[in-house]
Amino acid sequence: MSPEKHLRRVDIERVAAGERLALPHLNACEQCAVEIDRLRAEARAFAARRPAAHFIDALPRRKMHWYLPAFASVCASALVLLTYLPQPQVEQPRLKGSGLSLFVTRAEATRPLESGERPKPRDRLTMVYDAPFDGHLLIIDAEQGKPLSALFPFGGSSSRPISAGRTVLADGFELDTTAASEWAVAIFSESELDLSAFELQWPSGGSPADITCGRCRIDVIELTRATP
Amino acid sequence: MTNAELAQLYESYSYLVLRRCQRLLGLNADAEDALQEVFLKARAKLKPNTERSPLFWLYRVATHCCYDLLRRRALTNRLRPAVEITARTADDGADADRRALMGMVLRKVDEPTCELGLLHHLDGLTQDELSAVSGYSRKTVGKKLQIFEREFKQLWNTAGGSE
Repeated sequence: MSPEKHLRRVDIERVAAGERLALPHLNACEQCAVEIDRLRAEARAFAARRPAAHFIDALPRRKMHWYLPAFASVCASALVLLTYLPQPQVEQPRLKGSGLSLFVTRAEATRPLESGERPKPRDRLTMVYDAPFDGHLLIIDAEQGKPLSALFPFGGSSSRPISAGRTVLADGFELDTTAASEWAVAIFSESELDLSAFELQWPSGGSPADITCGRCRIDVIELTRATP
Repeated sequence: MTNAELAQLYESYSYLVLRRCQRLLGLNADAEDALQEVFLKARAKLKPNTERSPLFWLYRVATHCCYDLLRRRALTNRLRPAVEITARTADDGADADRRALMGMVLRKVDEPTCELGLLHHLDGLTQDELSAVSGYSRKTVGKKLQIFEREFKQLWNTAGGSE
Protein backbone atom coordinates (compact mmCIF):
# COMPACT_ATOMS: atom_id res chain seq x y z
CA MET A 1 0.00 0.00 0.00
CA SER A 2 1.46 3.33 -1.00
CA PRO A 3 2.13 5.93 1.67
CA GLU A 4 -0.18 8.38 -0.13
CA LYS A 5 -3.16 6.30 0.78
CA HIS A 6 -2.44 6.06 4.48
CA LEU A 7 -4.78 7.77 6.88
CA ARG A 8 -4.23 11.41 7.63
CA ARG A 9 -2.43 12.02 10.92
CA VAL A 10 -5.48 13.75 12.28
CA ASP A 11 -7.67 10.75 11.47
CA ILE A 12 -5.20 8.43 13.15
CA GLU A 13 -5.39 10.69 16.20
CA ARG A 14 -9.19 10.69 16.12
CA VAL A 15 -9.31 6.93 15.97
CA ALA A 16 -6.72 6.65 18.73
CA ALA A 17 -8.86 8.95 20.87
CA GLY A 18 -11.86 6.69 20.40
CA GLU A 19 -13.83 8.51 17.72
CA ARG A 20 -15.69 6.09 15.49
CA LEU A 21 -14.79 6.62 11.86
CA ALA A 22 -15.77 4.46 8.93
CA LEU A 23 -12.34 3.99 7.41
CA PRO A 24 -11.95 0.80 5.36
CA HIS A 25 -8.26 1.52 5.00
CA LEU A 26 -7.81 0.96 8.70
CA ASN A 27 -8.59 -2.75 8.54
CA ALA A 28 -6.24 -3.29 5.64
CA CYS A 29 -3.24 -1.22 6.73
CA GLU A 30 -1.02 -2.63 9.38
CA GLN A 31 1.16 0.49 9.43
CA CYS A 32 -1.76 2.76 10.35
CA ALA A 33 -2.98 0.26 12.94
CA VAL A 34 0.47 0.19 14.53
CA GLU A 35 0.55 3.97 14.60
CA ILE A 36 -2.85 4.04 16.29
CA ASP A 37 -1.75 1.48 18.87
CA ARG A 38 1.40 3.45 19.55
CA LEU A 39 -0.59 6.64 20.10
CA ARG A 40 -3.02 4.85 22.39
CA ALA A 41 -0.19 3.44 24.46
CA GLU A 42 1.39 6.90 24.80
CA ALA A 43 -1.97 8.40 25.76
CA ARG A 44 -2.51 5.65 28.38
CA ALA A 45 0.94 6.28 29.81
CA PHE A 46 0.25 9.99 29.97
CA ALA A 47 -3.12 9.41 31.65
CA ALA A 48 -1.44 7.17 34.20
CA ARG A 49 1.08 9.91 35.02
CA ARG A 50 -1.54 12.63 35.01
CA PRO A 51 -4.89 11.22 36.11
CA ALA A 52 -8.00 13.10 35.03
CA ALA A 53 -9.15 13.57 38.62
CA HIS A 54 -5.95 15.41 39.57
CA PHE A 55 -6.10 17.57 36.48
CA ILE A 56 -9.74 18.52 37.03
CA ASP A 57 -9.12 19.27 40.70
CA ALA A 58 -6.32 21.59 39.65
CA LEU A 59 -8.51 23.51 37.21
CA PRO A 60 -9.38 26.93 38.58
CA ARG A 61 -12.97 27.13 39.73
CA ARG A 62 -15.20 29.67 38.14
CA LYS A 63 -15.93 32.02 40.95
CA MET A 64 -18.06 35.08 41.27
CA HIS A 65 -15.83 38.03 42.05
CA TRP A 66 -17.02 39.97 45.06
CA TYR A 67 -16.99 43.22 43.14
CA LEU A 68 -19.52 42.09 40.55
CA PRO A 69 -22.57 42.03 42.88
CA ALA A 70 -21.27 45.17 44.60
CA PHE A 71 -20.97 46.95 41.27
CA ALA A 72 -24.41 45.74 40.21
CA SER A 73 -26.00 47.01 43.41
CA VAL A 74 -24.29 50.41 43.07
CA CYS A 75 -25.60 50.69 39.50
CA ALA A 76 -29.12 49.72 40.58
CA SER A 77 -29.07 52.27 43.41
CA ALA A 78 -27.85 55.00 41.09
CA LEU A 79 -30.60 54.15 38.61
CA VAL A 80 -33.27 54.33 41.31
CA LEU A 81 -31.93 57.67 42.55
CA LEU A 82 -31.82 59.12 39.07
CA THR A 83 -35.32 57.91 38.34
CA TYR A 84 -37.14 58.89 41.51
CA LEU A 85 -35.31 61.85 43.02
CA PRO A 86 -36.74 65.21 42.04
CA GLN A 87 -34.70 66.67 39.26
CA PRO A 88 -32.93 69.89 40.19
CA GLN A 89 -34.46 72.90 38.52
CA VAL A 90 -32.35 74.22 35.73
CA GLU A 91 -31.63 77.74 36.83
CA GLN A 92 -32.35 80.25 34.16
CA PRO A 93 -29.73 82.90 33.84
CA ARG A 94 -30.54 86.28 35.19
CA LEU A 95 -31.36 88.32 32.15
CA LYS A 96 -30.84 91.91 31.33
CA GLY A 97 -33.42 93.94 29.51
CA SER A 98 -34.10 94.57 25.83
CA GLY A 99 -37.03 92.19 25.52
CA LEU A 100 -39.62 94.93 25.20
CA SER A 101 -40.10 97.06 22.08
CA LEU A 102 -42.78 99.65 21.47
CA PHE A 103 -44.32 100.56 18.15
CA VAL A 104 -46.01 103.90 17.88
CA THR A 105 -48.95 104.55 15.61
CA ARG A 106 -49.37 108.19 14.80
CA ALA A 107 -51.41 109.64 11.93
CA GLU A 108 -52.13 106.07 10.80
CA ALA A 109 -48.44 105.33 10.39
CA THR A 110 -46.75 102.75 12.59
CA ARG A 111 -43.04 102.69 13.39
CA PRO A 112 -40.78 101.56 16.20
CA LEU A 113 -40.34 103.95 19.05
CA GLU A 114 -36.66 104.81 18.90
CA SER A 115 -34.39 104.51 21.88
CA GLY A 116 -34.62 107.74 23.91
CA GLU A 117 -37.57 108.95 21.87
CA ARG A 118 -40.57 110.02 23.88
CA PRO A 119 -44.12 109.38 22.72
CA LYS A 120 -46.71 112.08 22.31
CA PRO A 121 -50.14 112.33 23.89
CA ARG A 122 -52.75 110.32 21.96
CA ASP A 123 -50.13 108.07 20.43
CA ARG A 124 -51.25 104.48 20.20
CA LEU A 125 -48.57 102.10 21.41
CA THR A 126 -48.25 98.46 20.48
CA MET A 127 -46.02 96.29 22.64
CA VAL A 128 -43.82 93.52 21.26
CA TYR A 129 -41.88 91.19 23.48
CA ASP A 130 -38.95 88.85 22.69
CA ALA A 131 -38.95 86.06 25.26
CA PRO A 132 -35.80 83.92 25.59
CA PHE A 133 -37.83 80.95 26.82
CA ASP A 134 -41.39 80.06 27.75
CA GLY A 135 -42.27 82.20 30.77
CA HIS A 136 -44.56 84.72 32.33
CA LEU A 137 -44.81 88.38 31.42
CA LEU A 138 -46.21 91.29 33.34
CA ILE A 139 -45.96 94.87 32.00
CA ILE A 140 -46.62 97.52 34.55
CA ASP A 141 -47.60 101.10 34.01
CA ALA A 142 -45.66 103.07 36.63
CA GLU A 143 -46.86 106.67 36.76
CA GLN A 144 -45.62 108.99 39.46
CA GLY A 145 -48.28 109.78 42.03
CA LYS A 146 -50.47 106.85 41.01
CA PRO A 147 -50.67 103.22 42.03
CA LEU A 148 -49.27 100.61 39.65
CA SER A 149 -51.51 99.12 37.00
CA ALA A 150 -50.97 96.46 34.37
CA LEU A 151 -50.49 97.26 30.70
CA PHE A 152 -50.17 93.59 29.91
CA PRO A 153 -52.42 91.87 30.55
CA PHE A 154 -54.26 95.19 30.36
CA GLY A 155 -55.94 95.89 33.70
CA GLY A 156 -54.90 92.50 35.06
CA SER A 157 -53.49 91.65 38.46
CA SER A 158 -50.97 88.94 37.50
CA SER A 159 -48.70 87.92 34.66
CA ARG A 160 -49.70 85.93 31.60
CA PRO A 161 -47.71 83.06 30.13
CA ILE A 162 -46.01 83.67 26.79
CA SER A 163 -43.99 81.41 24.55
CA ALA A 164 -40.36 81.78 23.66
CA GLY A 165 -39.76 84.08 20.70
CA ARG A 166 -41.36 87.28 19.53
CA THR A 167 -44.93 88.00 20.59
CA VAL A 168 -46.98 90.97 19.48
CA LEU A 169 -49.06 91.73 22.52
CA ALA A 170 -52.63 92.35 21.53
CA ASP A 171 -53.19 94.67 24.45
CA GLY A 172 -52.07 97.93 22.86
CA PHE A 173 -53.12 101.16 24.48
CA GLU A 174 -53.54 104.86 23.76
CA LEU A 175 -51.62 107.41 25.77
CA ASP A 176 -53.50 110.09 27.65
CA THR A 177 -52.39 113.66 28.00
CA THR A 178 -50.88 113.52 31.47
CA ALA A 179 -47.68 115.44 32.05
CA ALA A 180 -46.49 113.20 34.88
CA SER A 181 -43.45 111.00 34.52
CA GLU A 182 -44.46 107.52 33.43
CA TRP A 183 -42.72 104.28 32.52
CA ALA A 184 -43.62 100.92 31.07
CA VAL A 185 -41.87 98.25 33.15
CA ALA A 186 -41.85 94.79 31.59
CA ILE A 187 -41.06 91.97 34.00
CA PHE A 188 -40.39 88.53 32.54
CA SER A 189 -40.00 85.52 34.77
CA GLU A 190 -39.97 81.74 34.61
CA SER A 191 -42.73 81.71 37.22
CA GLU A 192 -46.00 83.54 37.61
CA LEU A 193 -45.85 87.15 38.82
CA ASP A 194 -48.35 89.03 40.92
CA LEU A 195 -48.85 92.79 40.52
CA SER A 196 -49.44 93.21 44.26
CA ALA A 197 -45.86 92.02 44.93
CA PHE A 198 -44.57 95.18 43.23
CA GLU A 199 -47.02 97.67 44.68
CA LEU A 200 -45.04 97.86 47.92
CA GLN A 201 -41.93 98.74 45.92
CA TRP A 202 -43.72 101.70 44.35
CA PRO A 203 -44.36 104.51 46.76
CA SER A 204 -45.78 107.65 45.24
CA GLY A 205 -43.06 109.61 43.52
CA GLY A 206 -40.91 106.51 43.17
CA SER A 207 -38.51 105.59 40.44
CA PRO A 208 -38.81 102.53 38.17
CA ALA A 209 -35.39 101.48 39.47
CA ASP A 210 -37.18 100.66 42.73
CA ILE A 211 -39.01 97.80 41.01
CA THR A 212 -36.94 94.70 41.43
CA CYS A 213 -37.51 91.02 40.97
CA GLY A 214 -35.00 88.23 41.56
CA ARG A 215 -34.21 86.12 38.49
CA CYS A 216 -36.47 88.25 36.30
CA ARG A 217 -35.75 90.22 33.20
CA ILE A 218 -36.82 93.82 33.60
CA ASP A 219 -37.16 96.37 30.80
CA VAL A 220 -38.02 99.96 31.41
CA ILE A 221 -39.17 102.34 28.68
CA GLU A 222 -40.04 105.93 29.54
CA LEU A 223 -43.49 106.96 28.43
CA THR A 224 -43.34 110.52 29.74
CA ARG A 225 -44.88 112.54 26.90
CA ALA A 226 -42.73 114.71 24.81
CA THR A 227 -43.55 118.36 25.06
CA PRO A 228 -44.87 119.76 21.78
CA MET B 1 -20.27 19.88 31.01
CA THR B 2 -20.16 17.74 34.13
CA ASN B 3 -16.90 16.74 35.79
CA ALA B 4 -17.47 13.12 34.68
CA GLU B 5 -17.85 14.24 31.05
CA LEU B 6 -14.80 16.45 31.36
CA ALA B 7 -12.79 13.57 32.84
CA GLN B 8 -13.79 11.37 29.93
CA LEU B 9 -12.81 14.06 27.45
CA TYR B 10 -9.51 14.55 29.23
CA GLU B 11 -8.70 10.83 29.20
CA SER B 12 -9.39 10.59 25.47
CA TYR B 13 -7.78 13.77 24.23
CA SER B 14 -5.43 15.39 26.76
CA TYR B 15 -2.31 13.69 25.42
CA LEU B 16 -3.09 14.70 21.84
CA VAL B 17 -3.89 18.28 22.81
CA LEU B 18 -0.71 18.56 24.87
CA ARG B 19 1.35 17.23 21.96
CA ARG B 20 -0.29 19.73 19.69
CA CYS B 21 0.48 22.60 22.06
CA GLN B 22 4.07 21.43 22.44
CA ARG B 23 4.50 21.45 18.68
CA LEU B 24 3.24 25.01 18.47
CA LEU B 25 4.86 26.45 21.55
CA GLY B 26 8.04 24.48 22.07
CA LEU B 27 8.21 25.18 25.78
CA ASN B 28 6.67 22.41 27.83
CA ALA B 29 5.58 24.72 30.65
CA ASP B 30 3.66 26.88 28.17
CA ALA B 31 2.09 23.81 26.61
CA GLU B 32 0.88 22.69 30.05
CA ASP B 33 -0.68 26.12 30.56
CA ALA B 34 -2.33 25.92 27.16
CA LEU B 35 -3.66 22.43 27.93
CA GLN B 36 -5.28 23.72 31.10
CA GLU B 37 -6.74 26.66 29.21
CA VAL B 38 -8.17 24.39 26.52
CA PHE B 39 -9.95 22.17 29.02
CA LEU B 40 -11.23 25.17 30.96
CA LYS B 41 -12.83 26.35 27.73
CA ALA B 42 -14.13 22.87 27.01
CA ARG B 43 -15.76 22.74 30.46
CA ALA B 44 -17.46 26.07 29.78
CA LYS B 45 -18.40 25.74 26.13
CA LEU B 46 -18.12 22.29 24.63
CA LYS B 47 -21.44 20.48 24.49
CA PRO B 48 -20.84 16.74 24.62
CA ASN B 49 -22.10 14.72 21.65
CA THR B 50 -22.83 17.80 19.54
CA GLU B 51 -19.44 18.23 17.90
CA ARG B 52 -18.76 16.20 14.80
CA SER B 53 -15.26 15.64 16.10
CA PRO B 54 -14.25 16.77 19.60
CA LEU B 55 -10.65 16.58 18.43
CA PHE B 56 -11.22 19.19 15.74
CA TRP B 57 -12.88 21.45 18.30
CA LEU B 58 -10.09 20.95 20.83
CA TYR B 59 -7.40 21.58 18.21
CA ARG B 60 -9.08 24.77 17.17
CA VAL B 61 -9.25 25.99 20.77
CA ALA B 62 -5.68 24.82 21.38
CA THR B 63 -4.49 26.84 18.37
CA HIS B 64 -6.30 29.86 19.74
CA CYS B 65 -4.72 29.44 23.19
CA CYS B 66 -1.27 28.93 21.71
CA TYR B 67 -1.75 31.98 19.54
CA ASP B 68 -2.50 34.00 22.67
CA LEU B 69 0.49 32.57 24.49
CA LEU B 70 2.81 33.26 21.55
CA ARG B 71 1.61 36.82 21.34
CA ARG B 72 2.15 37.31 25.07
CA ARG B 73 5.52 35.65 24.82
CA ALA B 74 6.50 37.92 21.92
CA LEU B 75 5.51 40.91 24.01
CA THR B 76 7.46 39.67 27.00
CA ASN B 77 10.47 38.84 24.89
CA ARG B 78 10.45 42.31 23.45
CA LEU B 79 10.82 43.56 27.00
CA ARG B 80 13.17 40.81 28.14
CA PRO B 81 15.33 39.60 25.25
CA ALA B 82 17.53 37.58 27.61
CA VAL B 83 14.65 35.22 28.30
CA GLU B 84 14.24 34.56 24.59
CA ILE B 85 17.94 33.82 24.16
CA THR B 86 17.88 31.34 27.05
CA ALA B 87 14.82 29.63 25.66
CA ARG B 88 16.32 29.40 22.20
CA THR B 89 19.57 27.89 23.36
CA ALA B 90 17.65 25.26 25.30
CA ASP B 91 15.72 24.35 22.16
CA ASP B 92 16.55 22.34 19.14
CA GLY B 93 17.78 24.78 16.46
CA ALA B 94 15.55 23.66 13.60
CA ASP B 95 12.46 23.65 15.81
CA ALA B 96 13.30 27.09 17.10
CA ASP B 97 13.59 28.40 13.54
CA ARG B 98 10.28 26.84 12.57
CA ARG B 99 8.61 28.32 15.60
CA ALA B 100 10.19 31.71 14.99
CA LEU B 101 8.72 31.66 11.49
CA MET B 102 5.42 30.49 12.91
CA GLY B 103 5.56 33.31 15.44
CA MET B 104 6.05 35.84 12.63
CA VAL B 105 3.07 34.45 10.73
CA LEU B 106 0.92 34.49 13.84
CA ARG B 107 1.79 38.10 14.48
CA LYS B 108 1.03 39.12 10.92
CA VAL B 109 -2.15 37.19 10.22
CA ASP B 110 -5.39 37.60 12.10
CA GLU B 111 -6.38 34.94 14.58
CA PRO B 112 -9.17 33.09 12.71
CA THR B 113 -7.03 32.91 9.59
CA CYS B 114 -4.18 31.50 11.64
CA GLU B 115 -6.39 28.88 13.24
CA LEU B 116 -7.66 27.73 9.88
CA GLY B 117 -4.19 27.81 8.33
CA LEU B 118 -2.69 25.68 11.04
CA LEU B 119 -5.56 23.20 11.10
CA HIS B 120 -5.28 22.87 7.34
CA HIS B 121 -1.51 22.68 6.97
CA LEU B 122 -0.55 21.11 10.26
CA ASP B 123 -3.41 18.67 10.72
CA GLY B 124 -4.53 18.25 7.15
CA LEU B 125 -8.16 19.20 7.72
CA THR B 126 -10.00 19.67 4.46
CA GLN B 127 -11.81 22.88 3.64
CA ASP B 128 -15.15 21.18 4.28
CA GLU B 129 -13.99 20.07 7.70
CA LEU B 130 -12.69 23.55 8.43
CA SER B 131 -16.01 24.98 7.40
CA ALA B 132 -17.81 22.59 9.76
CA VAL B 133 -15.53 23.21 12.72
CA SER B 134 -15.26 26.99 12.33
CA GLY B 135 -18.74 27.91 11.15
CA TYR B 136 -17.33 29.88 8.20
CA SER B 137 -18.64 29.20 4.72
CA ARG B 138 -16.53 27.06 2.43
CA LYS B 139 -15.80 30.15 0.33
CA THR B 140 -14.59 32.17 3.35
CA VAL B 141 -12.43 29.28 4.47
CA GLY B 142 -10.85 29.22 1.01
CA LYS B 143 -10.13 32.94 1.11
CA LYS B 144 -8.61 32.79 4.57
CA LEU B 145 -6.40 29.89 3.58
CA GLN B 146 -5.19 31.87 0.58
CA ILE B 147 -4.29 34.78 2.86
CA PHE B 148 -2.49 32.46 5.26
CA GLU B 149 -0.49 30.83 2.47
CA ARG B 150 0.40 34.15 0.86
CA GLU B 151 1.67 35.62 4.13
CA PHE B 152 3.54 32.44 4.98
CA LYS B 153 5.27 32.37 1.60
CA GLN B 154 6.23 36.03 1.83
CA LEU B 155 7.77 35.53 5.25
CA TRP B 156 9.45 32.32 4.18
CA ASN B 157 11.07 34.07 1.23
CA THR B 158 12.06 37.07 3.35
CA ALA B 159 13.62 34.72 5.90
CA GLY B 160 15.73 33.15 3.14
CA GLY B 161 13.90 29.86 2.82
CA SER B 162 13.02 28.12 -0.39
CA GLU B 163 9.69 26.74 -1.55
